[in-house]
Amino acid sequence: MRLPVKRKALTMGVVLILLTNAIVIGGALYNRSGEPVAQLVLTDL
Amino acid sequence: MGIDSKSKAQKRADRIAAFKEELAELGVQGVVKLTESQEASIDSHHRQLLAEYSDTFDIDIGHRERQFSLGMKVASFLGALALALSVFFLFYRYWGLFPTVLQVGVLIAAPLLALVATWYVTEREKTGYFAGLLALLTFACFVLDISVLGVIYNITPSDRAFIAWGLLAFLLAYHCDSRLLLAAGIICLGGLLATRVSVFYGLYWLDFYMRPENFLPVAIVLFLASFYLPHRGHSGFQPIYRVFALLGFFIPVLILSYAGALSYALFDEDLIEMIYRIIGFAASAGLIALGIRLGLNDVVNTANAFFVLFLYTQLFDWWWHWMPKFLFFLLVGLIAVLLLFVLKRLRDLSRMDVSGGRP
Repeated sequence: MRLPVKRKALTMGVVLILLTNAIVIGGALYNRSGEPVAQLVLTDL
Repeated sequence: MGIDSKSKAQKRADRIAAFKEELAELGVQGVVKLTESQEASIDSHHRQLLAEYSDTFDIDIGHRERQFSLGMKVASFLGALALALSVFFLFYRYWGLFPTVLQVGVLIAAPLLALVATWYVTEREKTGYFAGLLALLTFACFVLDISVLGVIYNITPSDRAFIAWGLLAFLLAYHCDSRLLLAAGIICLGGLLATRVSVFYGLYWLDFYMRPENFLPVAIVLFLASFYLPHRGHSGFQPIYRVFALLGFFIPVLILSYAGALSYALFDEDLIEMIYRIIGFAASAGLIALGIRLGLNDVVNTANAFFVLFLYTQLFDWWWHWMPKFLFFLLVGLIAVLLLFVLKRLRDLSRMDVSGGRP
């Protein structure tokens, strides 16, 4: 007798990882979209 | 067969072994002697049960097997820790050489691959040690993934990361029957609740530890969860919830009983400290009584440890500065002896409950 395979839990885990990454990266890309309101130029001098 | 978890199957196997041993002893002493047909019938039933449990849950039948299992548990934990560190230092060593897109790809792929590997191994290997190792690795990769993404894109730290980490830890814990991951999940979601309470009271979330009372709602939720969450098939999980609930309650109470300024309450500091000391003594004594009544050893032991801790910190506060040290330690020693008598009495009481009123 084997324990039932919990495929649903695997799907939930994959969705959780992908969704979290999508939110983090989406948020970062949204922040970088549009024109910058200020720019700082750094030199060696 | 009515047994749905490895720990329950293990307990039944232990009972069978103890029964066989006791029956043999009774036979030697001439107290009872089963007929050959009765012995054969019991033996055949037990053999069938043990074979079934061994096949389904891979339980330990015998002392030697149990020792090996303990070694495997330790090896599984150390292996997971070493693999997680290996992944971390591999990334750390070559990280700067990768372009950002590859870095992000590796970060996302690592927990996904580890997760799929965990499920693959769980379906094929019944001992659970390899699955537990991979599950820990998955969790470590996911924590690393979100933390490093935050560094790459310079994202403001947020306590919402605990939601994702906690959910994955719970998912893996319940799938792989891993108490270590359950503890990780409890710490993540408990930490989130504590930070939300601190934000509600106007603090920045990273300063949540500045107000120990933030952890009291966490303790209440965990204690109730231990009784009301379904734990079918995970009989070792309830004590983990309860022990974390008690730690989440007693540690803040202990801190506040000597640092009243950290409380949200606006009374006089001394009054706050006195109130928390009374709460600490009353709660630990009450929980010892509750634990004995309900037969919860984890509650009795944890509350007992904190009762002793409250007592000794109180004695230190009262006597250490003015009393000669030899007298202080003499009194502490005498109180320890008194505690031994009280605990022995409590043990006798619980033994009387078990034996139906006979001492």
